[in-house]
Amino acid sequence: MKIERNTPEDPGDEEVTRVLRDVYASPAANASYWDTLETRIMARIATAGEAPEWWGVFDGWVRVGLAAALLAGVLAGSALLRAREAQERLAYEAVMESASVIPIAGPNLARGPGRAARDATLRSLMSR
Amino acid sequence: MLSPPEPSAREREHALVVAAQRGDTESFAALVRLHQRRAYAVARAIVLTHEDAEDAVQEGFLHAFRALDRFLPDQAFGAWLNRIVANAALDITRRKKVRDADTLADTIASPFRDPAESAELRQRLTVALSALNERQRAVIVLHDVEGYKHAEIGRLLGIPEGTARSDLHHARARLRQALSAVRSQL
Repeated sequence: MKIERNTPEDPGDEEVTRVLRDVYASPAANASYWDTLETRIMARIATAGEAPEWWGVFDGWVRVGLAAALLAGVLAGSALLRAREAQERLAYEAVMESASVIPIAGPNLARGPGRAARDATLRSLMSR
Repeated sequence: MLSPPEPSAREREHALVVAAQRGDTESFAALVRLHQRRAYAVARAIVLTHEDAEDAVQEGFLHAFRALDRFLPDQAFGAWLNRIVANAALDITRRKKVRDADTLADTIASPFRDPAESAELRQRLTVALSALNERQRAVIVLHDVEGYKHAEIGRLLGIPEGTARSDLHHARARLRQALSAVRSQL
């Protein structure tokens, strides 16, 4: 793209510049205006220094939040520990209860009505 | 015996910056006095009204005050400040985004204008200015009114120098067109 440079001999540019300067004229001649603006700027800085920033509102809540989080952590840890102990105790008791009903292998196990019937059948066959 | 040489303007400014960084608000007030006119001109080039320019200047100085500890005193304070003011002005422009040309024609007019100037001409130019995008408007005002060079405008607005040149070309063409339309009617 060809760029046109600003040239002083361009009457259109001069006209544009002249009107622009009028529209955008700063209050340069008015000394009291600048004194007032300076005062307002410094007052705003002073006010901003005194007033807390919006995120500063949370400063007071940070300690409370940290304490609450710590307490919640301790409580959660304690509850977890208790739940784990209860789980282990229940598991132990379940094992102990089931151990008492488990049949123990031994000579008594070989006895019973089934065994007697089998013995009778065997004797009957051998006597033939 | 020779008296020590007077400190240059740059040295005085450096001393003020260092003192302001140590918390001396009087020194910062002196920096405000030194730079507020230029800061206003930069802001005025970007926003549409005198009131918005004042707001941008105040915002800019406030940001600069808060960021003062991050400023390296060997740099040019004015250039640093004007970039902050330009950003504040651009923020205001983005927030407002006023597009009503009729409203703009009334509000953009500065209270410091020359009453002898053709009201029609000024009003048409004002409307044409408001039709430019904010960057083009800022570029032409900074260049034609404030005398900034393309590279300086680029640094100020955070755009490449070539973009500043291109924006200036387009903005000037549109304003020239607006003025010639008025002249043909007058």
